[in-house]
Amino acid sequence: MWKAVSYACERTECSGRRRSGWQPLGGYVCEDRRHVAIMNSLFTKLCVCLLMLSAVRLTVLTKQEMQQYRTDRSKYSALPHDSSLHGIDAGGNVITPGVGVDGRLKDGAFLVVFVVHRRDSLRDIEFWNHVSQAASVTRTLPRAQIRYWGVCDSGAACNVLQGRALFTVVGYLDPYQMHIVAQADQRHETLLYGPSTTLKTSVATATDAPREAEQILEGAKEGGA
Amino acid sequence: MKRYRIVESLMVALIVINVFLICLFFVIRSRTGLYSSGIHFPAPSGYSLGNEAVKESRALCSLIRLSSDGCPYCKVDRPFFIKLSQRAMRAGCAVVILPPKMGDIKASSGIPGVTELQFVTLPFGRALNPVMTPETVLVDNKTGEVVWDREGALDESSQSDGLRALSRFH
Repeated sequence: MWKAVSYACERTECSGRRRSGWQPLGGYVCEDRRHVAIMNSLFTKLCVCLLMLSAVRLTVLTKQEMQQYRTDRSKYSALPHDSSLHGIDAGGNVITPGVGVDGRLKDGAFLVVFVVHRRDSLRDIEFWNHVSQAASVTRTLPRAQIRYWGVCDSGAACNVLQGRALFTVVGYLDPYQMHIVAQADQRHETLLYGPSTTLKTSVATATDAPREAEQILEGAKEGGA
Repeated sequence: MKRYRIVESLMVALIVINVFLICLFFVIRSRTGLYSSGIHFPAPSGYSLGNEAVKESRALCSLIRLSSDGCPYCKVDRPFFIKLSQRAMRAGCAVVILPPKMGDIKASSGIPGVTELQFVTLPFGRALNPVMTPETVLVDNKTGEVVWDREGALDESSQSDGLRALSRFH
């Protein structure tokens, strides 16, 4: 009978439990409970299936995105060992640490690259002056063998302090090298480049100048160039 | 009735899980890639290819292009970049081309109105991730936010994305 009248049935067939939402206003016509129950059950199953499918798909996508995120992080957060040591000094001149014909730093020197923060520029300059003095006093390496570049975090703003510094104040570097220096600064690290201009090690920036000098010298002594 | 309740609860739980996964997906996505959210770009400044000081641009936005003479893809997508840079200049943006390393670009690009920087400041170097060429980044100079970026060569589709992103500065 419900087939013939589609969604309607006679009042008598609806005598069982009714759900108010199914009844049209003032009418005696109600929906076929069996049909509705079948449809409801089908739709419910379909909904649950679709929700499960979407949850599975989203889990897979999120997992892939997470893997990509981890790969990116490990790829981009590691400090590269190669370098591009060219910059602009306080006088506005292009500087390089002095590379010989063999592609190595002259006199087998090491280069320490750190950041001078404009906010604490005087303190930073004093600190690094002490570091360079402390490193030369220990005489593990001749003084000329360690050069220092203090990269200003505000471009040319630190140029006026060059007169106070015992190291080279650098305002600008090429994008590649500047990104490495910025990464190291975020980690509170100082970069130590060997005579072959590759990154020898990165040293945690200490609060104590003699300790920092000691770490730099240790880094310079370890392994080859 | 009890079965109905169980199914209802299952559906609610699944909806909650789906919403959570969608949110998680977009949070992770916003943090992947070279220019994830949270990066703040200062207006470009530094020293040009000819080693002349370039002051911080006061333009509304900056179209930053990382390119290199030895990069074949940079030559392939040059027409797309030229169109994008022309539109960017019309929208009041500064267009800046940089090499990753000194010497990677030897001669001027020949595109009129474009600034070619060779040396950058630390805040700019922190924001720029010069791990590949070409890279094209559109930055809102007011907020420092990356509005749009393309890692790799530009094509029709990425060019239209870039143009759409530029339309907010008109």
